[in-house]
Amino acid sequence: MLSVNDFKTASVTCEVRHREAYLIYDRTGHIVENLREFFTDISVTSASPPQTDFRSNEGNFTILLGASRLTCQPNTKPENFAKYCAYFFNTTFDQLNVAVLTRIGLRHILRRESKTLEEAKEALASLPSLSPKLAKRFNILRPATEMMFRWEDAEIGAVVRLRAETVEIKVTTAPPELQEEVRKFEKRVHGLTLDIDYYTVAPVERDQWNPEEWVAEKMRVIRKEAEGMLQG
Amino acid sequence: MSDTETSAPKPSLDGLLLVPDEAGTAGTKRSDSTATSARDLVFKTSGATALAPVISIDRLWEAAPGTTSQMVRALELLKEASDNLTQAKSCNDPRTADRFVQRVQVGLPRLFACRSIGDGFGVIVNSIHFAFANLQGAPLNQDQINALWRVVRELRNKPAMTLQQGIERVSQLEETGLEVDPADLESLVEGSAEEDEQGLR
Repeated sequence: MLSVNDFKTASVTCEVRHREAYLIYDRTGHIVENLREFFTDISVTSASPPQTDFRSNEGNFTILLGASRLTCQPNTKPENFAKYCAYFFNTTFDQLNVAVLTRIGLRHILRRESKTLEEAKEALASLPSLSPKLAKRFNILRPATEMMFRWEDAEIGAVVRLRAETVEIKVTTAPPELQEEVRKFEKRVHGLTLDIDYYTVAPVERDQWNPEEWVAEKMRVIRKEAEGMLQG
Repeated sequence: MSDTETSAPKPSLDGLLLVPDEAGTAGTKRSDSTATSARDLVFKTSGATALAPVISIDRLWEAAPGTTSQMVRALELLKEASDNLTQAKSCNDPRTADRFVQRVQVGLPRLFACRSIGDGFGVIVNSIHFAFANLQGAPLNQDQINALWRVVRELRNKPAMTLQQGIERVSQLEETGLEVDPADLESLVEGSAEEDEQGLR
């Protein structure tokens, strides 16, 4: 039987959406300078008026006209991720005068590697109470390779996806004229992906929300619920 | 409701993605099974200017059993305090009302332990503590109970309020005659002012 402990974190993201914050056109520089006090090696990777991406050792940041997002490295401890979120979102929302958050989403993607894709499909098909009974569907007599569940009410929602897949990683960092000289990194990984997105549906006032506490707590909730689903 | 987008590392996009996140940034794709972001980003309104109802604080802070979250703890304690003050408000007998108020006072140290959840939270809990201390055992009058009840309820609904918002709530307590500063602080400030004056002479 599968357990959430069999999976490794592939990425964890917190994204907060809000009404269009037009102060982004004036204050993106202030935001980056303020963030630099905490994320000391932060650097901008791409910038345009309505969207700026930056990166530091702690993770990848994006600020948009209507949203802000932080994705951390897979090995980041949950309590550290919560701290980074608190600093990032508090700094950004202070500068952009954001008072109401229209959606707060926490997305945790985990992966369990297997030797072959078939092995991953078998693992998915073996999950009790989740996999549909094997039958010919759309003239295909194979177990489902992906399942998605969504629960949502007027205030909270969650999506869980399970997918057997092959992921191909290709990294080429050199410019086109040097790509022959520089070694490319390529890898194919088979496995089962567990992708959980927990989010708010109703608007949240900023003074209701403490990012550090919320992220840490919901990381626990996600893990616990995922375990419950896998165990059936 | 569209998915939470991710800022996954962006490898070359010749093949599949490093993280199959179905999102819509430069290195990722948006899921075609959910609503587009353009519609989601529209701020929900009802009527001319009314906002959609905000999330209830208890749903936002639902916790898994065994949580160690200070916020969850603080909300439980504030609920207890709010319930006690509701009882105190509705009592006709001042002595019974005072018993409920004393229960609030007893819970303050535990609330104080949660003060890291917000600056506004900290200043309000501190002020309530000193308000009780300065009363030196005297009971709160009806106006003071009402004001305290309003502030505690508001703090429970907005536990992450800013320092400025917290100070505004403390002012509401002061308006009912509650002394929210430590007694020693006043003498310290007076002493300091006298020293300054002497220094100037």
